[in-house]
Amino acid sequence: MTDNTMFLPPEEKQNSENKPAPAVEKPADRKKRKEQNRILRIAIQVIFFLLAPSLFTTAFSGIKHFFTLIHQGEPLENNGFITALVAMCVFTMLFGRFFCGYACAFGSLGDFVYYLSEKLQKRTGKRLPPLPEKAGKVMQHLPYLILMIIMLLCGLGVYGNLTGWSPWEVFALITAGNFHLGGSILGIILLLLIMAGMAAESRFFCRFLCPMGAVFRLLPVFPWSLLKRDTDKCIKGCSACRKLCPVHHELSAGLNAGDCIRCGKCIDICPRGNISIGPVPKIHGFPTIFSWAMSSG
Amino acid sequence: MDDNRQWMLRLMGLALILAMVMGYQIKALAWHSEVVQNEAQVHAAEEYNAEIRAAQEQAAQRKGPAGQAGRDADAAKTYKDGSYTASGRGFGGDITLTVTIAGGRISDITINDASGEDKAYFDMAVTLLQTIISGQSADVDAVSGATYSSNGILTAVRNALEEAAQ
Repeated sequence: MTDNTMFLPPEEKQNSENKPAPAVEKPADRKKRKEQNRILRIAIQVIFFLLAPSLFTTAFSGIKHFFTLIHQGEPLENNGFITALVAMCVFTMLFGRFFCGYACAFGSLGDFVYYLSEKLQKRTGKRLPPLPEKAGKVMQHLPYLILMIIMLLCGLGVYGNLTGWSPWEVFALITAGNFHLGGSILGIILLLLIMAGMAAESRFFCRFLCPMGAVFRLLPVFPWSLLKRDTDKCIKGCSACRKLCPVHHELSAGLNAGDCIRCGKCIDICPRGNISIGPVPKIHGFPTIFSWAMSSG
Repeated sequence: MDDNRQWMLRLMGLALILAMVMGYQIKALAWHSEVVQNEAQVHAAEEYNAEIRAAQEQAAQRKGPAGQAGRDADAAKTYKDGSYTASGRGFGGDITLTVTIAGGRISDITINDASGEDKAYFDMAVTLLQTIISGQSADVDAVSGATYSSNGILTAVRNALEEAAQ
């Protein structure tokens, strides 16, 4: 019962095997498209960085505010924090984590630091040792821990007493043009350490530390909006998409789909154009849900 | 398929969390209305006390000038009428505001410039103005979660009141 293809009529099964491969894009065209998309991505990141550098802290303040209210036993009220949080969560649930990939100022900082570091590494010919994949897999759980600790501190009402430690706050102050950072020595040190991490690993903060990302990761992203790879059509041994992915996301169907930050780099690099959004491959609509219900029930 | 299965599981998790939030909200609203009721009672009692105090003072004045000293001390705390503009450092720069004193009391506070502040945070901090006016004092706690903007507002108000006291 676990084989989902049983719900397809046999002729459709055959069709999907005999279908001619889609017209393959010329390498030159692909390169051009890739470059255009890269520039577009950077332009969007710069615009958001300049116009709304504190969006990520505003949304996360919604979470902190919520737990602080619980501590005080006060009813939830509609304010800018909660609005930003709800709006961003709804958007992410419908379309995926575009916010992380394009709009988050801290994510853009990470991209920029990593870009500079790559340039420097190429020029000097010395490469930083890559983080072992296994260590990365373990460290990917850290954001949940950080999120839980912050929620707990807010819920206990002690968060407000801890000042000057937050690297986000230091970053937000700097982007707001406030350089009176005397009270935030710990925050400055943490920010510098994080920037060192950003130089060594792509999207270091997003993958290993970001508590807002932890929230986004757990959200139910509408399956239609997830990027999917048609693995049957892949070139044997090609893993261009996985190597390029800034969050080291495995683009097979399923597990940890929430990791994807929708930067779209994999779509541009794939020589076969195998990665796209749309319905979950081969299975359409309700039968999927039924088949799952039947297989688990 | 795993994608759909995971989506459903997460949807259920989200529904559970939202249900918990709703449950909390219903409970908290009930608490809140109790608090409001209690406050109304306290307020009524205080008003009644004030009436009695006023009556006692009147009676004491009729007897002799003994009560006068206490009233003079009170008068010394009030401010000179006028408008006082001052600023304090907020999140992304200085916050400038004008405190209006009428009849020796803080009657109004208007924000002149808060261009360096982030809207969501500043909107929360701005609720302090009402607290300051109703308490007639800038000795109030910063709004948690909007500390920088709050401190900017409080510093500015304190600076303005210092001017007004001279």
